[in-house]
Amino acid sequence: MNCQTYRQQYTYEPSCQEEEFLSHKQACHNCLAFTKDMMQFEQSLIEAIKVEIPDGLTERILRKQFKNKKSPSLLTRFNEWFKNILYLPPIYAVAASLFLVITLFSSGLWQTDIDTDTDTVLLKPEIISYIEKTPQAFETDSKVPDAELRMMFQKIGAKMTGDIGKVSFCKILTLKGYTIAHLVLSGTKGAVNVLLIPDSKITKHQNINNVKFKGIIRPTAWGNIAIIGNQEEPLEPIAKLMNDKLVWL
Amino acid sequence: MDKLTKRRRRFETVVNTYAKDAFRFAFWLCKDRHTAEDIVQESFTRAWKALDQLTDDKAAKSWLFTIIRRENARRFERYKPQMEALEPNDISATSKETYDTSIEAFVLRQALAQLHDDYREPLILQIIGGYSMEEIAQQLGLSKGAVMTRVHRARQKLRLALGEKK
Repeated sequence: MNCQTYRQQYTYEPSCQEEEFLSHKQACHNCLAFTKDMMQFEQSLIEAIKVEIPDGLTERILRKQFKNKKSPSLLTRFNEWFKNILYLPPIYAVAASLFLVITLFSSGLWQTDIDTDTDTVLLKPEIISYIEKTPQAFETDSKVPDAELRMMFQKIGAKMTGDIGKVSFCKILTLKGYTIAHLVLSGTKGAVNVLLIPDSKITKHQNINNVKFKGIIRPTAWGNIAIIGNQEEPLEPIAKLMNDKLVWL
Repeated sequence: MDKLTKRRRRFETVVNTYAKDAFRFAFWLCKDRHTAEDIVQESFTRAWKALDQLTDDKAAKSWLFTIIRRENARRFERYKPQMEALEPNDISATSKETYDTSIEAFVLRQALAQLHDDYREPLILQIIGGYSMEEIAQQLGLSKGAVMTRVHRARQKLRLALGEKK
């Protein structure tokens, strides 16, 4: 490798590990000053790139991943237990079966709709509280300009592909770390609140029951949608309408 | 050890090994500490979900950096209006407390932040990722020649900035 090739190579790839390159780097006196200058520059660059790492970053990453994991379902737990008792002497198996049946009945765990969806536990009360505190949630007098609405959808990474009717209120908010787009539409019985939660991953259909209103939370291909309206309002068609008329970019 | 525990331990190893580099890479992509942490968190969430797709642990860093690049691009598309409004945040102020506080480092950081993404990205992949030209070309979907030109020009611009300020 001649000096010119070496210098060119150095400017492209200073950490090149090719034998020819390394030999030249060590042996060439003509390139000594160049090499020294380049090494100094590279070291400055490496130091400049090192930005401060936020305290507890790795802990936060691990906590976030592991805290949201669902606990095993009752059926899964039963299957595990059943596998285990196959290896026990029969008398223990009978005793364990009796103990399990008594425990399940006495604690009411026989029902299978235990809410293990952490997102639901966190978000549902927040949504109810937010709707209760938002006066615009049950008013349909005003009208949001189309441009403002388009801008809001753009901000959350969505686009309308058709008419969703009059929108009297729209806002982007954050609840429990989730970015939510809130729209108020006109339903058949009054105002209907639509909350689009693209980052939430509630997997079960949920219902919201409140003295003043009722609601549903539905999983979709892009996240979750919550619809809240008056007690008599049919909410499922609104969920379908929003799903049909929105494209996620 | 059950399957879930094994999976968790594997993930913990990836996080403990690469979280710092992941943050630095994300930071230089978006130039904002808070956004960088969001990107890293979201990227690791995706990494956890797709962990079974990582067949070779030696490729974990490249795999993770690819996720980060995509996540950054996704956020940029989603929040374009806000992102455009953002000035490169005060890089010197966030960094000088614990790292190189020299004028040279300050100038270099400013110059790095002002580099066009096309130049900065291959350069940080080379320095933080430790990738070869071929690997960077593969990651960015460019030819090796294009990557060589970009990292060369990136260094030229940084040296120029340094020279002018000295």
